[in-house]
Amino acid sequence: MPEPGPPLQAGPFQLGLTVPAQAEFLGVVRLAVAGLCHRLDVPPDRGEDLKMAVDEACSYCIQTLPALERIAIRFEMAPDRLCVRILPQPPQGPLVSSEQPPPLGLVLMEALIDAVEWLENPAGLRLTVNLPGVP
Amino acid sequence: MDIKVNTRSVLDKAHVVEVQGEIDVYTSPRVKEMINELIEQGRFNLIIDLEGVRYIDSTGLGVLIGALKKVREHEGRILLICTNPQIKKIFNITGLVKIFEIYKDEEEALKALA
Repeated sequence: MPEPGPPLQAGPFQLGLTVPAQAEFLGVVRLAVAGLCHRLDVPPDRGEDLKMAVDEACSYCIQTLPALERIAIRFEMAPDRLCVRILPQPPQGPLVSSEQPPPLGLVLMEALIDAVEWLENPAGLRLTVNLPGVP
Repeated sequence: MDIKVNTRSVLDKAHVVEVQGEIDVYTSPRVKEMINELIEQGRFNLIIDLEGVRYIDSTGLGVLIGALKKVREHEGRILLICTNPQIKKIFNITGLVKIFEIYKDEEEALKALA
């Protein structure tokens, strides 16, 4: 077995994954989030929260955007946080939910992680989890 | 990424629905179908065993809420078996812990039905 490489948290980096906009691929997305969080030593409970938030964001896109073909997911790692951008493809109009009350999935997403930003150009979502132990 | 749903009768008091796998947008229709089948057969006291469930999303929660509404129309009950801390956390965040009866095992759930 080769020795593990240096910790990935040494510097910022990006990682991407694009999946068909079909419900059966949500499991693949969850596996990717879980695997990356494990590799980055994200505390397990924070990793689980992020996994669910990403899943809910992707589910929301699949259920509400009729012309959606793919979902691009971009992970951006910085020493003090992990950000995940969810970008519907082809690019869509504004995603902000006008439903009142908001769907349960969006409520969960907001509750589980530190920040949810609705992006406009390109339309999408950015989910952020702050990592502990960083001044 | 599949889901397994088994049902069985217990002491003529209730039906147990054992779910194994991950409940999400893709798999929740299967869970819904099995629960609805039981309700249509007049089984209004259901014990839903989530011990084999590794993950549940908002659609899965929606299935449980829908089932609870249906059985309550017939004065029935839904009792959940769940000890997974992550899943219990989701029930807490959503406030569903106040409307669902959650037990640690089947024995405890059956006692509650007695």
